[in-house]
Amino acid sequence: MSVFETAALACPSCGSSVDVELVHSVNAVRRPDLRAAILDRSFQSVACPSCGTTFRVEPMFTYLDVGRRRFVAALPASELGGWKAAEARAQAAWDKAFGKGSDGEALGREMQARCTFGWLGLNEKLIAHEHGIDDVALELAKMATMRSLGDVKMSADREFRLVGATDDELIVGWLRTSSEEIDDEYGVPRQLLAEIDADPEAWAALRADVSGGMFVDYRRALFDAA
Amino acid sequence: MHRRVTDEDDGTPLKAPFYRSKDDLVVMNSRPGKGKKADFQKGAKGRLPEREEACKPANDKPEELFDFNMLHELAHSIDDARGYMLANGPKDDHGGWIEIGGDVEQIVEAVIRETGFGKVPAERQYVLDKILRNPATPPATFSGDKARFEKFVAAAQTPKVWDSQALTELATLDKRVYQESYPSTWTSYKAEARKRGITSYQFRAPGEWFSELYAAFKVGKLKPGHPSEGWLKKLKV
Repeated sequence: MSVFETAALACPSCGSSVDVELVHSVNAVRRPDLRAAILDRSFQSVACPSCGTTFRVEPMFTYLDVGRRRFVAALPASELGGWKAAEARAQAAWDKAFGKGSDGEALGREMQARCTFGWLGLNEKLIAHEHGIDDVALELAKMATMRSLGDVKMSADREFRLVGATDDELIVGWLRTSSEEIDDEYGVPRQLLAEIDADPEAWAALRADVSGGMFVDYRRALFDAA
Repeated sequence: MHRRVTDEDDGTPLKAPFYRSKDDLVVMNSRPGKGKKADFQKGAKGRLPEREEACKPANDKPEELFDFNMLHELAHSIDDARGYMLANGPKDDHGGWIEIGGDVEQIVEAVIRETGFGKVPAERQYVLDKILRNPATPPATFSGDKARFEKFVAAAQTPKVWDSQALTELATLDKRVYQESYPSTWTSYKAEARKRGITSYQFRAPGEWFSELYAAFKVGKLKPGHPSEGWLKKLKV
């Protein structure tokens, strides 16, 4: 169905003990409400009954949507520094359930498997699919956009993410990992995706940098994982 | 490309779709809590009764929730694709499940058989209202074991009743467990099936019974010769 377990956590603001239903797996076919909550960023947000502070526990769960043919290993943002090892663990878990020779092999062949670090990355994958945007092309478009912006201040607490789309534009922005607040957002002509698609050779090197495993993300090319 | 943040009339920055501005939000920079399956932790007690020898876990290796749940969710896909529990769930060797849903008259009848309470209209209405979580007025006079019924319904409606053997026993009427598996959605299964259980969550609903057993089988938690081994080996999506 989707698996939750109760955990007593200390409120990050006042230290009071708060019982939280921590998610361990989401089955989006059986629980479409959880997918909606991820999209509207309310999922796993908890208000401390003592001080009222809202906090959100980092993700660490499997997201399976057989209907949309999507799987995401949603990992904590704090594991980004070791993304290679985390990606390998996610791949091993995927292979056991959906890989060659597994009971789920036939289903797995039809599915797209990804891993993400933090809520923003997961949210972006769902938004991209919602708008019919290929996530590899999206990462290339984001890299091109960042390049044209110039004077980009990279940090582990800033992420350049798709936050929405229209028929004509991708809406991307700089968001803070720690607070999920948006600093700036930009409209990028959707045509850029078609241009990337039309010239695979020109984008081949960058494509290899942002993909090549379950972690499809521009930060794959920027963060040197241990 | 253009910068998209603009000021509306009230000075509020225009935000993109799906973005929800938050005040005082803290994203915890770690993932606290357990990462292992509770049923397989050393000293895990009170979740299930003493298991039949063939159905005890094959080892005491802790299981990562992440990997276990991946297999659990795959199992739901297998179940859905094959309609497995729909066809097999009612069988005794699959828990003897009955999906009651919201039609709770059969629970009322079980209460009457077990406790003798509920035979007259005022008692019956009270039983029905309590099960349906309606405002309930206890009858001024009654016959039968009203207290036993009240313990039953409190246990059966307790969140995660399936994780507690003691509560499950209170939620048992005539060798069948009755429980509110999901809000306003009831199920029933044979109480003795828990002696062949591998995790307590298995007893939330027929689909969970299947998925937990499948995941346990795949991570090597079932002993050779486990009563479900034969059919589990034959499953594919």
